[in-house]
Amino acid sequence: MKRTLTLLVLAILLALPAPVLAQSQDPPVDPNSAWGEVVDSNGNIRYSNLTDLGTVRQSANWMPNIPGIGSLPASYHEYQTPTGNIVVLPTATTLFFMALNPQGSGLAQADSQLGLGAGMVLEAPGIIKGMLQGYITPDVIKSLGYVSSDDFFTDVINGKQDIWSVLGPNTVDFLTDLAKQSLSGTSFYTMLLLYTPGDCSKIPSGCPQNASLPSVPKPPASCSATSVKSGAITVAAKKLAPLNPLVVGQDTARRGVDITWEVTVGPTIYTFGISVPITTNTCVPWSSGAGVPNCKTSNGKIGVLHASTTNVCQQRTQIFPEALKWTTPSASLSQKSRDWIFNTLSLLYPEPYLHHPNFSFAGNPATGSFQGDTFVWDFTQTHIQVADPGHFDLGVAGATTGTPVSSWRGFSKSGGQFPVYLEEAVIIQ
Amino acid sequence: MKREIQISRQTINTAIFLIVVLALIGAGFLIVRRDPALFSGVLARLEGITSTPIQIIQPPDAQAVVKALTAFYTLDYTESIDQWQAGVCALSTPNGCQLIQSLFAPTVRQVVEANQVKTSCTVQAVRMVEESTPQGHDGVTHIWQMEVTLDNPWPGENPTMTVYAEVAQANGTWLLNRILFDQEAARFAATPTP
Repeated sequence: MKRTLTLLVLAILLALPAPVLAQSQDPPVDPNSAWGEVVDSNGNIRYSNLTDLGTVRQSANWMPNIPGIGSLPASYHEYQTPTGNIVVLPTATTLFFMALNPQGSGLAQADSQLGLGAGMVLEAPGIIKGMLQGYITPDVIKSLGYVSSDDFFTDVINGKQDIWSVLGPNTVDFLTDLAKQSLSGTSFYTMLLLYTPGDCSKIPSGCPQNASLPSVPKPPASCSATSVKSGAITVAAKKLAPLNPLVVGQDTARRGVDITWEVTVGPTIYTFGISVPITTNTCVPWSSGAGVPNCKTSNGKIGVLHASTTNVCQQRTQIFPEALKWTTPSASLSQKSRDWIFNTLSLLYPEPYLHHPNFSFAGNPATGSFQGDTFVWDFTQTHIQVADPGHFDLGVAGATTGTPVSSWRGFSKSGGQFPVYLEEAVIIQ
Repeated sequence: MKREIQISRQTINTAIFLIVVLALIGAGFLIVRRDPALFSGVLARLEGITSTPIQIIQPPDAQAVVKALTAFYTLDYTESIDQWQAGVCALSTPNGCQLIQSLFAPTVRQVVEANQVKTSCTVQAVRMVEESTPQGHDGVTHIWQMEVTLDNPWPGENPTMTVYAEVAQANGTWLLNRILFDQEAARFAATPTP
């Protein structure tokens, strides 16, 4: 009952293009929780308590694509709390597509979510359900064979139901309402996502550059020369399917190519020296008034033990795991294949040109994880429509988050290749 | 001795026909020699008649999609985005215009400016793929599969692409509701063409 009421409140709020306002918190936000410094007991966002990190717009492969133009950018407003937590407010349009792709968008990786007007955690199906109230009627869901609408929206998230087919002609009204709510100046947010400083790299748009993250305790002062050995960054990529990809013109079923990329970032090893006190006992020759003799010196005379402490510099190592801040996987037709198209294939097909020799995709580092001290990030893109024959070089460009002893690192590495074939008919006389 | 030569009527007719044809060819040759412009003028008129394209009369909803997509994919980085937006909005429903302004225009602007795009396009209707009636609205909406060919595609862009667009009838006029995202259009692309 409470859940239904909450969703109803959310739906009503969605219909009103008003500034950010959290109302009717039920139950109220716990002032001692992480949300206490974000939202007050009346449900209003405590802007005066937050540092405005600005609006971030970035391309994302889970946002919808305008044919021939490209994908709509994902848009978020980011704030930082006094304790260093980052609060992300996606616009209504961005939130809807985040909920449709909770893993890829980083929605599922948030440490906590707060639905405005709801005061409760909503999972992705709940967000979509709330946003689509009034656009998809219960009768429509029943006609698809669902007893529970929750099951239907869970299937939407899992790709078993096409939300666009179900929305049908009401899509234009729904998108228009989302767009109105997303307009700058009358920004209306329905969901707050909270990330702790340790999970800053899991934010969909990456860790904000202007965020002041709490300093991590540094190793003690070194008594010798220090060294920082950054972890190796590796990139590996390969074709998953089909066995022999064809250029899009001959790929009648438009199967395309499935590619997977993997990036690993090894831990940074910090070597330093610490001063360790070492106590040594030396037998010094005895003299009157020097106490009771208790040892013999090296030449056999009686003596007393004398303790002396000296500091010795001992070498230590400390390991700092490092994550990724942003990533862009890519595929690019190799120079050799380009030369082949223009110098050899041109004899059969005069005046050739390259249709789409370069592909790049917006990766989301938030989907990566630590395996031991090594950060591992995977990305798979399916059904890539390739129009040029030849070998495509696969690579990833990106940047690491840095560690307390090293700054972030940019990289652009290749790692693998896949072929795309052009079938040719040969007439035998 | 009198000898009678018999000539058949058919032979006489054939002879008369040949004389007339030769006379006409001779007269034509003399006219062309005297005024060559006359011949080329007649030839041009004949060519004009034969090269006139066959006009395929499209239904009004398809015409509306062609006009709207032509406006949408006619891009010029030297013109303001407002000018482009106004051109597309004039052929769109109020909701369609809202989507163009808030969702599509910022992305189009970014692409056009980054690639210094200056292109016109040719748009052809392929087939209507869906007809439906939205709840709470009068009239129907049609979704058309279209083929758009850019005259001057920017690097990395295919010159020819398939675009699905929805039109709605408002006060007897068909207007653009929206251009479908690739993700939405996947359901039509998967349907085999009859």
